[in-house]
Amino acid sequence: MAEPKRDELLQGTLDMLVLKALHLGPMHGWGITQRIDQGSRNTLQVGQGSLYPALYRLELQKLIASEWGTSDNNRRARYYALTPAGRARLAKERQAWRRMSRAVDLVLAMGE
Amino acid sequence: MSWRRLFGFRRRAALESRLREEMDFHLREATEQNLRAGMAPEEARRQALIAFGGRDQWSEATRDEIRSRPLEELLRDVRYAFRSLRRAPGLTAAAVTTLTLTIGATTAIFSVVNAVLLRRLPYPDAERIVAVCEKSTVRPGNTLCPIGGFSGSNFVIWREEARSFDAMGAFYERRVAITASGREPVSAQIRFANASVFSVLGARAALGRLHTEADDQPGAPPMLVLGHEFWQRQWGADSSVIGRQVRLNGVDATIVGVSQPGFALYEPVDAWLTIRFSAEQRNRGGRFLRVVALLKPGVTLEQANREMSLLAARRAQDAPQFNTGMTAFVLPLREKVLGSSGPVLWTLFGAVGFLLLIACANVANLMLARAAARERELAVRVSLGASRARLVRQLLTESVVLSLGSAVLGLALAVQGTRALIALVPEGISTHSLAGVAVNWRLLGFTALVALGTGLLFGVVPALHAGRGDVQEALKEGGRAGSSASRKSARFRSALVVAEVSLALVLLTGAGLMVRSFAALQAVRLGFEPAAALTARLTLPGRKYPNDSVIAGTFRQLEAQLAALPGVQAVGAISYLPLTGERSVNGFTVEGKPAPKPGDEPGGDMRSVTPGYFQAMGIPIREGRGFTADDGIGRPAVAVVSETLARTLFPGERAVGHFLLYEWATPERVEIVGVAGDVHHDGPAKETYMELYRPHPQFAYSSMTLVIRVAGDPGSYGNLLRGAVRSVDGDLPLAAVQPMTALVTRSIGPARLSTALFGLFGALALVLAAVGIYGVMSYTVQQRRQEFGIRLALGASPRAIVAMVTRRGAVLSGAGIAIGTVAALAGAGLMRNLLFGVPPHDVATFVATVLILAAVGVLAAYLPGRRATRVDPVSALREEGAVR
Repeated sequence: MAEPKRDELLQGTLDMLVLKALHLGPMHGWGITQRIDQGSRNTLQVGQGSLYPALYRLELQKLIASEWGTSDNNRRARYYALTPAGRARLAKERQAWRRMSRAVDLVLAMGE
Repeated sequence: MSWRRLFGFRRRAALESRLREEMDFHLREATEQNLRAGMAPEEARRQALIAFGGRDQWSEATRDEIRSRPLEELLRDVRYAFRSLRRAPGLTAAAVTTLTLTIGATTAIFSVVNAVLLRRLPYPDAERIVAVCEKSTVRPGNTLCPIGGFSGSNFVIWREEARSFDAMGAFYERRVAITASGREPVSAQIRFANASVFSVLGARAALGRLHTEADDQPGAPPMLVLGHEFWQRQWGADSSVIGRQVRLNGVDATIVGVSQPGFALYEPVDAWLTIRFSAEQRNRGGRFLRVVALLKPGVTLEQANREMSLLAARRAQDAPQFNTGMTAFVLPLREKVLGSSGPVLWTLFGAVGFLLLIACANVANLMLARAAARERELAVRVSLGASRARLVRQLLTESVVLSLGSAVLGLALAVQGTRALIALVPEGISTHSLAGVAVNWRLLGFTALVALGTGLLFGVVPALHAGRGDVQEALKEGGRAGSSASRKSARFRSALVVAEVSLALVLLTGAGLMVRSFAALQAVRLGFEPAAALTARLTLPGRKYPNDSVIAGTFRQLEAQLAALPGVQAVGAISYLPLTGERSVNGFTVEGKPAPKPGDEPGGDMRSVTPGYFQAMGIPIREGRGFTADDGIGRPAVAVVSETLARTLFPGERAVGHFLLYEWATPERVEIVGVAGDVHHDGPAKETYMELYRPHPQFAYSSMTLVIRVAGDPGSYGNLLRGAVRSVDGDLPLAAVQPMTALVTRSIGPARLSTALFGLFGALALVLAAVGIYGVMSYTVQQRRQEFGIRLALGASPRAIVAMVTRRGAVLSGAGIAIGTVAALAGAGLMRNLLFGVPPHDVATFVATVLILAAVGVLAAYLPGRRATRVDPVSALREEGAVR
């Protein structure tokens, strides 16, 4: 099995990470990649190729909402924000993730 | 919402620009970060682009997120819908059948009814046009004012006096030979009419002009307006006909115009000739006209009726010999044209409504049954996180797939059905040409909407319910009909079935009564033998055949020629053939009996016949003798009367030997020499009249209908007949060559049509009711599989299971039949006017209907019951509680 690439994310996790990134406050696409990058201590680098589809998908699902705003350096940018439904979804996903990762940890720790 | 997204092009353009802008922003931020990290500008940009990846690729991926998702979901929904519809083939077939039949059949039936009866009369002021009629106040008679019942003198006088009308026109029809120079004479139906008829109808000329008031003046030359079709047929639409002279029965007339295509009033005619009422007309008796008038704007029917009865009362004083016991009234033209079709129309309306109700109940029922069967499936999907909106969309897709499919089938059925039904419409009952009749799209839309709406409504309700309902409960129930909600909906469905069956019973009873009535109509002995009789109308032009003896001699010669033809058994001729609606009425008195009061004189039809007529038509001579060649001009005036006349005027004594007195051109005194069997001259549903037959030479008509009785198919003698006529006079026009059976068929045509329509409604109602019962019972069986499995496993006999299911179905249909019978008994009286020879509460019809419906009800329950016994107990039990 090939070594997984650094930025390859478990399927379905990206949505959760985006939601989490927006949990900190409204942000534009670039900022979201930065937040995830920093939050993971440069472990997870979100490819733009998957970020924007995810953003549009989440918006369609009404988990996030977007509007035009002005960035720190005074540029026009599309800002995304969490909706109540998105907040609820994040909580749910988070719980599921915890359960899952604990389970995976347990399995990996077998016999250790 | 997905639709808007799919098709909102403007939104898509906005989306594209948003996408581009976001990418640019992203790229710039990335480049700047690289710059801050100390890269050279070129390198910073390059690295940013690399990190960015294939720009086109991911913008396409983003677009996909937005665009293809709804489309994919829709496709998935449709696929899923097909699959789930296939999983319940019984219910699906039932729903499709119901929707297709309802949409298709009701539209077809109604399209025809609408075209034949409902369409507005084709005149500009149709609402203001009335027929003006006279009727006897002494003898209660036909209130629909029969053909030729209006006095010429009264018309001339009332036209001047009546204030209710803008115009008043009179007309009558005669068949004449038309000769144009250099052409063969042709036989044509001519309407003699004054110019006002055209202004009443608001007619315009297609070519030349119509008649004007000047043409009506006494002494004005006769002016002819050609009917459009006749002009095309006889003159090849030659526009130079205007101004040409033609001869009508030896009288010259000038063609002044051609009417617009399709212009007609009552029966179609070939051409219109002016009537010029002479001054003497004011003092003449006799009723031979029909009158139409245009009400002044604002004048009501009541006002016009009041005026007409006042005018009639005044005429009874001024000219008592013609008008005592007579009154006049007006009738909306529409009513006159529709005639006895009116009640049929309303009953058919009711039938359409009933059928729609049945169909809606059926569709609702089937959809609810489907939904109930899927309660668990929906509950499972809700618990797995499907949103209610998602479920609604799913079910909506199913309903739409089902409904659209059925609508397409229904449309095909409507188109075909309309065509088939138009073939059934008899000639002459429509005021319009039926050639252009097409599906009534508005009604198609309406039925489709109602049927589809019902389907959608009841298809989606369960989804809403499922979203709201208690998932745990539904799952625990395991889909069995046990929860209170499903019990409630089961009760509702049972009520629907009961309603459906009772409505079907009402329709079926109506259909049964119509069929019985039609059978009675066909069983009526017409008084003559139509089979093997061929008829043809022959008109001798007046100039060539100037007097009675020439006319009589010609017909005698012609009959001799025809009688000599091989296969011809009898030959005769009559002035007014039965079933043509043509007649000539006259009053008469019996010599030696006290004179009746004025207005109360017996009246009867006067018909001129040749000696061979009775034999050729198969009319028996009951008493005395028929006519012979000896009853000629200059011989004693004789008459043969009908049984009705003999019975009415000579009760308890022999009519033969009595003398009748009447006035025709001159006073006549005729001896009754025979009594002929009664003939239903106006069709089987009409009563027989007093008939006075006179021998042709003594009462010569130049226009007669030949009747030949032949061996074999009468239709095949047409050419022989034409040849024989040509051998007598090559110029004689022969018209309306047709077997007598064709006339009989036509006379019962309207009854045949309404019977066919009612029969269709009844059959549809029966099918729908059967489908309804079947659908619900199938569902019940499906729901109770486990129970049946257990019962079978515990040793219940399959027969007991079948009996159980069938009994349940029988209870439902029994309740429906009981309610329906009460409703049908209450409503049957409304059909009284439509029925002939059958009482509205005909026991046989009711019993038969109940039996048929009961049998169908039991069968529709028995079939699913049989399926119940085929449940494999083990597999049924294994399913218990299983969550798929």
